[in-house]
Amino acid sequence: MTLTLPPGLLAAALLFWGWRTGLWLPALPMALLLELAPRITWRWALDDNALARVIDLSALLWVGALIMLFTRYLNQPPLATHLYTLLRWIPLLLFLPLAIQRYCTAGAFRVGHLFYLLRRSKSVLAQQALQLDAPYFVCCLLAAGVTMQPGFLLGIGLLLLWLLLAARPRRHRWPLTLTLVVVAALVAWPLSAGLHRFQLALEDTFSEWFEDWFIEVDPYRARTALGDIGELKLSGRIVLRLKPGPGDPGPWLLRDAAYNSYFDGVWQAKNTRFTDLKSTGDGREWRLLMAPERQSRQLAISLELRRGTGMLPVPLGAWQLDRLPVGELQISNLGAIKASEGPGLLDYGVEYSPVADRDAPPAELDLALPRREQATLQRLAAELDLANQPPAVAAARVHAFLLGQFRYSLDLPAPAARLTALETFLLQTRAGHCEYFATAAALLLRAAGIPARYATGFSVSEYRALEGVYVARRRHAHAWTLIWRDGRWQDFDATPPDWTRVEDEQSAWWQSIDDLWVWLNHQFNRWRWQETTGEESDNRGWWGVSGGLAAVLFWRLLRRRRVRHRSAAKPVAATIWPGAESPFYQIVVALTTRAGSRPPGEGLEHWLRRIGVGETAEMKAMIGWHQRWRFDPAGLSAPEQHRLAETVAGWLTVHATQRRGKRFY
Amino acid sequence: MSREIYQTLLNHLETVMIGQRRTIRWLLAAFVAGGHVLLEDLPGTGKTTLAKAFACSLTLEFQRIQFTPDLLPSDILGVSIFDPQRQEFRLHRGPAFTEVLLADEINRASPRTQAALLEAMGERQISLDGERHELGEWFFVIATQNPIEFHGAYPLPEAQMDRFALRFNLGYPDVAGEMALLTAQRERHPLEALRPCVDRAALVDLRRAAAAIRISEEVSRYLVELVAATRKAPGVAMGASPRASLALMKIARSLALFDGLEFVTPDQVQELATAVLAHRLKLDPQARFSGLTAEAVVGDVLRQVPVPV
Repeated sequence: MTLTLPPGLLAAALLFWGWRTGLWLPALPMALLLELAPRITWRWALDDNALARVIDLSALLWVGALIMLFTRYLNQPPLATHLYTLLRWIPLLLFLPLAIQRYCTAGAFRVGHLFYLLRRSKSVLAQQALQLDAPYFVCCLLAAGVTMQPGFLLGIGLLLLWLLLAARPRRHRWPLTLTLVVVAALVAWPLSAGLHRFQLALEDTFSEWFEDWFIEVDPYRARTALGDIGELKLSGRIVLRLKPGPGDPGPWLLRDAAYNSYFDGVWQAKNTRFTDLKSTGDGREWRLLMAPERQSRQLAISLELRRGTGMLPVPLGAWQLDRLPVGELQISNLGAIKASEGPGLLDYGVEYSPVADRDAPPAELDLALPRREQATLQRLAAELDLANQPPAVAAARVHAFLLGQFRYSLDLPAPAARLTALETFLLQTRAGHCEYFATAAALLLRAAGIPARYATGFSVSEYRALEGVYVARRRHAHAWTLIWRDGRWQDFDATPPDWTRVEDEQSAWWQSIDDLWVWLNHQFNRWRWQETTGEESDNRGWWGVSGGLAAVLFWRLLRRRRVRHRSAAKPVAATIWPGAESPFYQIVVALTTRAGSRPPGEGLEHWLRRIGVGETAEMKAMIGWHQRWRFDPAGLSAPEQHRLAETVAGWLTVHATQRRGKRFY
Repeated sequence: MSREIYQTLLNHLETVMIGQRRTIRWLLAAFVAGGHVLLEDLPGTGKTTLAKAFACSLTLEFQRIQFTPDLLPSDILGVSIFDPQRQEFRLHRGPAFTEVLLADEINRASPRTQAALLEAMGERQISLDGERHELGEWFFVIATQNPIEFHGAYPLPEAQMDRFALRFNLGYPDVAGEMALLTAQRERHPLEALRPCVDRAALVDLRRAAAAIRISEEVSRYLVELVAATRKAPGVAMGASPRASLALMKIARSLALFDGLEFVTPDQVQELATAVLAHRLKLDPQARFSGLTAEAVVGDVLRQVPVPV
């Protein structure tokens, strides 16, 4: 049986929704539009195709809304906020089909309209009429429930009371329905509160369990290729774009992270801790340091951020980040900057000064040598006469040593017997890639008593005329040394400068095509994420698209033939027909539980005959009275009503005893 | 009282139409409701016998027209012929000037001839040479058509179809019925022995009683919902008209009278809904070729529209 809503209920539900969610502005005209429908005398003559198109358009609105919310989510997690927004919008997104249903001649959609596969089907399912009123009513209540405040239960209770009073079985008088609804509400109240508590407890348990098992360990640990065998193969995919400010010739070393402890091919950042930064200005400006008095330079860096989280490469001495729309920014005492809750593409500005430095001052760790290579390193340091030299001199000697006697290579040879990978590099092969050079330089300087750290990031020197920017490819990922000199940390790159040439020789012949593709992709991403640069107006594009589509639909509707609508007859469900209180319905209920329900189109007498109870004289008499009560405009006299009630009671008693005796009817 | 008249008629006609109580009931319902009947059945099922027996029992004047492709409107309605002696046109009335008219194989005549009956059936009058001739309140058409003979047949236009209150078929009698038929006709046809059993005053009473049958608003609404549902049913190009609603109401009243009730229940509406509505529906060609029938559409409607209980 389809549920027919009493007039006005849907509008009331819409207003309730508007009140709860603060969406008054759409709710008012929507409710008005629905309530005006019976009074408006024309209807659109929409054919089957047009109705299907309305469903398509509605689906498109959903897709638009989902994309919009997904975009917002990428900008501003968490996801739950946006799911709630979607819930809140449901009545808005479903309103179009409902309004069309009210204002078209067909009066209802078909199940077939909802599914492409059923559009042309003649099956019973596809042809079944689909009245949207009741589902829409439920959606309104659901959407109104997004904000959990005391008024909600009362409102939903009143609306449901209205519905139940109107749709109650005809044999029940309204006080009974009212009492039952009130009792149900009184039971539901504590139950709903308990359910809420239970949900919270469940959430807590689950999140604890989830953190135990799935959150990754501290990622600040760099495993080098020292000790690996083979050849380093790095892709030429562009990962970062850099636009220098005026008077900044480059090249640039953009640091992702710094490490202070080496052991067996792994650099670790020990005793590191992250601190939260607070944004200033418009919320997209992050101050790392006090503004230095001199030598401040600017860079614009553009890179993709996977899942909105990642390390931000910045040059040493960065003191401020601009245009950075991330939710959280953390910086470690070793200078690593971690962004989270950001968009998929960042386009941020960096203010830096070669003289600024925020990293923690040297500690014992920055002088520690790995035990296995300690002897070799100290011997080499002695050979180079690094001891007691000022840092500048020591660094120059290390640089000269590495540059003069070592060459850059991407081959990864097997370590010699009884030597570690680093010793093999230093003593035998004298060839390696940047990780070797950076590690060797750092440890040699430490052996000389000069604090040094190991840094990773990108070396940016390739200029792309096509885009007018400097780019860093994945193979430009680099490692270098940080050296403590003149009271601050400074970059010290001991890798032979021809390393980029060696790397570039490796590049594939399709590199330029790939670059073009990457560029197009980048442009698309820029367009896609450009709204992150805006504030409130960031969804203008989507609103524009939705508005355009709505305008097209409206125009098409306007062009359609309108037909005069005979004002709709009063809804059936709201009418209480005479004889609704007939006691005979008690027998119908009793028989329904026994023999199954009566099909809606089957007459009472026919049904009773079919299930084998219509033939007795007693039953025939009762049917006669009942039908007279129900269908004779002259009605049934009071004594006859009384006799019917008595006969029904008698029949029910007999029926009950027969039931106990396992006999049917 | 009225119910007794009905019972008398029913029993009387059943001596001729053995095992056809249902058919007789429906025919009488249509007659009391003032509607015409279209019988659609195979040859030899007793259509003509039924019509003859009916006219004979009711003391009504009876005429029969065998429709053929060359039948002209004047063959039905009559024609004015110049009388040279009197120097004037004299109207020779056709067979349509009667009370019970059996139009046998009506779909064999051309649409022009079929249309000649329209006015007579709709308004119980015939206009000839600019003159109106009343046909009387008992004018009742029983038309027959053979469903299988498509060759040389002109399907009745929708307007004509709509003027028939009922369309149903007699169907073959069951074995016992057919045996009884043989027994009854061993010596002579029972029709020959059939005598009138009610007079016209009784018929007037019957019609008056039917008109006094009450119908509640709820049952009327159910009836209208049924008719309206045929207009929205899938595969239907043209649904039943308001004339169908009227016919269904009148016929349901007659049935209520026959059932001894003073009011109409939904059961009476359901009983003849298919016979009243199906022949007025025009199906989409696509639906028709896919095997959908108008009877099936009305059957679906009856199953789907909730019946008041």
